[in-house]
Amino acid sequence: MPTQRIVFEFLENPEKEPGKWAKIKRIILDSGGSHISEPKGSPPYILTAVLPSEALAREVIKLLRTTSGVGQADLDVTREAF
Amino acid sequence: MPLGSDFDNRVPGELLVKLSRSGEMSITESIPSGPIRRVFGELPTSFGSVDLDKAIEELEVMSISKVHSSMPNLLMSETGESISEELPGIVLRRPGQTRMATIAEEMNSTYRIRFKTDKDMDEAVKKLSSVELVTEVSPNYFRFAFVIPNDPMFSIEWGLAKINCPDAWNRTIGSASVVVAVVDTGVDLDHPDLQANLVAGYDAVDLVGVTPRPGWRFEGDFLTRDNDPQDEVGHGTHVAGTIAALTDNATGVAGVTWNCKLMPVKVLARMVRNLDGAVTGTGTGVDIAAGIRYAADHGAHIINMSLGGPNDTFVERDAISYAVGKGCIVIAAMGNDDISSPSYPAAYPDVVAVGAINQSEQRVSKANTGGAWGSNTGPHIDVVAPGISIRSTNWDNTYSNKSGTSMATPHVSGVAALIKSCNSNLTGTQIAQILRDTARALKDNPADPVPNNQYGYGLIDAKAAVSRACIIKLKFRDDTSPKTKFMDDTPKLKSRDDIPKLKFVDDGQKMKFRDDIPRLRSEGDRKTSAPFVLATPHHFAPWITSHPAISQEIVRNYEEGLASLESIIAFLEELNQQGGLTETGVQQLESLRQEYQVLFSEYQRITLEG
Repeated sequence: MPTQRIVFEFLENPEKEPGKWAKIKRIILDSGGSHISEPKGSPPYILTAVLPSEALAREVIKLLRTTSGVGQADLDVTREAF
Repeated sequence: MPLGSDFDNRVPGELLVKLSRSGEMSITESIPSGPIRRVFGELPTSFGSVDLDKAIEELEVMSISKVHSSMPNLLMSETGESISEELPGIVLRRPGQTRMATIAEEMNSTYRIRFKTDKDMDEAVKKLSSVELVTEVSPNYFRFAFVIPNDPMFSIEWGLAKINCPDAWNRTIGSASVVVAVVDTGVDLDHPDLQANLVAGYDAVDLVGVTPRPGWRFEGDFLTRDNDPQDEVGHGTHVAGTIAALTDNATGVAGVTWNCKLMPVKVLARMVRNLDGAVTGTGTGVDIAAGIRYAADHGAHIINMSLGGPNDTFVERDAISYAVGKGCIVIAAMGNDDISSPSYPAAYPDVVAVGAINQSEQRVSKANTGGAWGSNTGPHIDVVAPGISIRSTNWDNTYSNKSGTSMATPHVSGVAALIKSCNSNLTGTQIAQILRDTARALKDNPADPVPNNQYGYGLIDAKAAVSRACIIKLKFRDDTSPKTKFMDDTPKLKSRDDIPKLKFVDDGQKMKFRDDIPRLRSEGDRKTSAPFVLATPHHFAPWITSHPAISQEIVRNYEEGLASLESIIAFLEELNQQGGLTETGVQQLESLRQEYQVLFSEYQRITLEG
């Protein structure tokens, strides 16, 4: 189900590091991504974005892991009621 | 320091004696009725009857009192008319009332003898039994409450009995200050068997842009996070009912805890199969992590997660570490696929992983469910609990039976809540250890180790867990406040030098000790500097001495309480020698001496038998 949704940490305050935040959004949008959640509260922010496919999601994760300001990044996973 | 089932529950230093009519006639002392606490000085120590007094002469009797207050004379005349002075003119004609009159007479002739606790009770019984004037002799026995709730479906909630909830309820039915977060599909917020136990919750579901499984669709509130965790599936409502349905309310089901609070945290949305309308709860790791974080930040002590899936995620792992770091215990279901590969969050090391058993205490497997489902196995399993045909609350104000490790998990969360209710100082990690330590070992083969991959440490035991967790403190009664309250701590007097810190007031009515030692704590952390009257915790004795595993802490509490009493008594004796006590003060000093003896004998019993 949500295997094309990614989850990542943004470690900076976007007001102080607008360039880093803009670059991250550009990486996602250029891969066809959408629904990028906005950082709220205080860092580290746990953010999500939805990519068109799982393959693209994995590519974006690789890119994000090497991007300044990003902590951990991974695919979101499905959980079910037992 | 175990006091096992063979524990002698006779009240030390007490005998009950019933006299014949001639025995009653032989008494020359005026013997009042009880209660006798704190009025020892006013009670006789002999019957004034030669034969009776001879039988008790070696007991060093401290008091004799009638068990019952004076009863009306219900003896009937031969014509069937009452000859009662208390009920003049009332005619008793029914045959049963003749029996009633006899009972009343016998009750009027029943006495309680209190004597030094180091005397031989058996010998005293023997001597008194040999006196012709005595018709019956018996020790007094401690009796204990049997807590059975009146919820009509309680009798079919086999899981509660299986984990010894009724026995645990003798100790605690849960504290309203303990909060269990149900991180699930939400909870039916207006269910009549849950509503009063709910605290504010959160809807962490945010499935914007997420496509459902092929052939399924999302329905209801699945797009944005908000403060409305209304259940749209029924799963979370069922889980919540097992943990803390309103209990003893003559409605529906009973919960493992009666009073603990439920925090509904919705992390799973309603997903419906297009083909047949089947409904399930589905979500993602991100939303679950957000739900855990919310629960930990908003006062949850226990986090129940009857959910899971494959793949480790950093967001859930971090959120769980955060919650455990804040003192929470996180409890999760093993999964229902009868496989040994890990499911998360149950497989995270900080999580108590729960498997399911059936009524025969066997792991639920596809072999014994006709292939329907089985409780997962693996080295990360901690404990098991009942998980098949579990009756509980369902959404839309109904009830249903459900099965799964989802249903086993809330049994464990409920017991964790009872533990926390007993001892609020315990961390989640400590509670988890108690759950494991007190579980009853289960294994498929005699040669299997414990823990094993099927049952972990075994079946949780609410009674054993609560007994392990409870701290019993001697309590002193504060009679000076408008509502009597029990002080949580005895005054800590390390030596007689501490006595001057307690200003003594004897106004002829009550002895008062003004507390100049700062911050005497009472239940609920009430701070007080009010004067208080000492009353010893004699009435707690049955409860304390029935404790199956008396801890060192309890012994220490006895020692502290005794030391404090000893200091206070010595101080009062000194004052008395100087003529500083009124008559009331002297009587209460004697009462304190007697209570000290009782406490000391209990302390001796506990330490010697340990």
